[in-house]
Amino acid sequence: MRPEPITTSEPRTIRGPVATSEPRTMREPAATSEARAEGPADAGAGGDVVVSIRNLWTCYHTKRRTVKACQDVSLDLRRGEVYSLVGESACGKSTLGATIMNLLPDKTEVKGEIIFRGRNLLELDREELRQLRGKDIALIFQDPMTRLDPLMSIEDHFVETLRSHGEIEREEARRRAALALDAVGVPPSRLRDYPHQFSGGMRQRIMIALALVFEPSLLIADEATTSLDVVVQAQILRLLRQLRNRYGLAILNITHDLGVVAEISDRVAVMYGGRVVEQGTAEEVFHQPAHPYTRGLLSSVIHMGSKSLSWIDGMPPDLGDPPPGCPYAPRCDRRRPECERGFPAAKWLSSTHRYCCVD
Amino acid sequence: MRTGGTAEGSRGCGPATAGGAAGALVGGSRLQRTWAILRSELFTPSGVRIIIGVVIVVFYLFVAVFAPVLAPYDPQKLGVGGRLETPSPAHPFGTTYLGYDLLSRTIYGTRTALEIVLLASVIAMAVGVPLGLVSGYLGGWPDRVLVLIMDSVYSFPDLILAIVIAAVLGSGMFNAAVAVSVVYVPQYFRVTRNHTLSVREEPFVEAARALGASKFDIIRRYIFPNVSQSIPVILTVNSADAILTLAGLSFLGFGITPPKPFWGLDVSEAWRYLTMTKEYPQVWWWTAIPGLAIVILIIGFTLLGEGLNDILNPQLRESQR
Repeated sequence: MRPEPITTSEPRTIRGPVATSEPRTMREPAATSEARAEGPADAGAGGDVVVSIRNLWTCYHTKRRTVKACQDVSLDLRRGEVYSLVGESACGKSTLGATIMNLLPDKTEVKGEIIFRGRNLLELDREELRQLRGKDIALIFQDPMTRLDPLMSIEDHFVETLRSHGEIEREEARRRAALALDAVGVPPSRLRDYPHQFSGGMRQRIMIALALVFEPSLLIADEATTSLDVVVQAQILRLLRQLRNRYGLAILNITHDLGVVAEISDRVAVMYGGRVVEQGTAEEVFHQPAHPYTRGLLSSVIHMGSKSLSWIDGMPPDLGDPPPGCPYAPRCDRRRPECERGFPAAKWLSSTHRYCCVD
Repeated sequence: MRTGGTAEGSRGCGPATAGGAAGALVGGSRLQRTWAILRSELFTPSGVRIIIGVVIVVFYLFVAVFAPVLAPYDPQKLGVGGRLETPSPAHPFGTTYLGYDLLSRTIYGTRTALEIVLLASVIAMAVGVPLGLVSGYLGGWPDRVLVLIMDSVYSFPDLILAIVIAAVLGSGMFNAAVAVSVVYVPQYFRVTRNHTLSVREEPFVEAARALGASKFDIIRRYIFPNVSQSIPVILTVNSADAILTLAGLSFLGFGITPPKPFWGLDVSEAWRYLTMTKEYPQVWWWTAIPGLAIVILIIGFTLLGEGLNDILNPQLRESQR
């Protein structure tokens, strides 16, 4: 426990009219060097790093305000690893996935680095990024019911996807589509069918097959199992695990479902208010949660047989006007005056387990 | 699933049976599949509409193609009969004031009408639809400029705009088609653009982007097919409208000029005699027959367009079962 919290990333005046003094443009995370000096932002990332996110800031500019959806996020994904990003809604999880894919609205400001195969994704031009999308980095979404074009057969979806990354014969495309469908457990005989002829679970399998047809090295699953029933959910999770093992895929699993996290994750990052407040291996985060928010989140899980349900009071902060210090401070039961002064420095519990709290 | 009385009656709701018409829906080329779908749709309400529409339009096409064979007289030859003769075996539809044979003029008028309307629709579509797609998908300042231009074109009364363009271009079939098409470009543009705006926000478009589809591919393969369902409807409404605009143009001396056989021309020439009940008490055939030709063709276009619209959209198709 330190007497004085170190302001890590965002220097701020301690007191003052925060909302009005907030400049419209994003502030450069000036003091990050201090945080960096402590060690790698996401320790435990050994060799075989597929993607390395460094001090990432993503801000949505609207006419009236700036929403800081990701603030100083750093994490590394290794080959064959399932990395889960958890937190409640409006914490910046999906924004992080969309930032990696650059599927953001036009007027979005992004700072930091996303290093993928030695190249910073934020510096690539549109065409280079387009070539990466679907081929090297793939994304699957929450709502498989609406993610397939109702007018295109499954085969056409594959043909289009394959053709967008280079010329290919229709026969060859069909063959690869059949292989990909087979890998996710959809009978290739259904290639000619249209999306509305499939169930939600089947459509999600098809989305996964489409995402994996090029054998990408990174798969971002944005709430991929949320809208599915538990049985299908379990099937999809098992499938993702199998594919991870088979292709050495790195999976960034974005979810608010702690059951899903426990099921498949190797490592976990807990996001709150646009910040990563705790990260570590799944065991560390689940068995020794260090951040009060993580603890609150874990205790909110409904257990079979328990009569009472605990929850965290309040709402996540408005990221258009985030609190000056720790974003969780207003809801935290261990809040102290220094919590308001700045985002607390990271503390290391082990070489892999890190959390940001003054406690 | 429907049962009985359908072209695919073998696809019952009971236990699976091998083979059957279902096979055609799975195998074969794209053309074969399309045909299989059409065949299985023939006896639904939209199928019946299509059949009637096709019969009417094909009939007109047939008449247009074989006009020289079908027409008993030269439609532009004066005095093949007397003035304003009532329908008789020699002149089944009667004759006009100048002694033209009305049957021959109606038959040849089909040619004129179909040629100009199809040409005008193709020009209007070829300009309006791509502009609408690009404008709607890209947005930003090109969109604003295009919308401004199209809205100002659209704000002119149809006929006046067509007259101005026809006056600038001069008379003739092609110029008449261009004059009519300019009037309808904004309609194709608007419908396409508005539809594009909604389709562009569909999750599957974002999914396609996430899979690496380029802008051009997204417009061509994902947006256009979803937007194109609304085109047949505008096409049929506009085709009907275009015939009327064309008639108006001809009436005022632009576009198609008198000796050429055209229903609109005949109607507009005949209506003057309708008011002269004393001198010419019975000239109903001169307006009624070309008028009927117009109305029936419009009905044919509309039935065809709406029936196709129902069938080309797989979701709509499925929901009717």
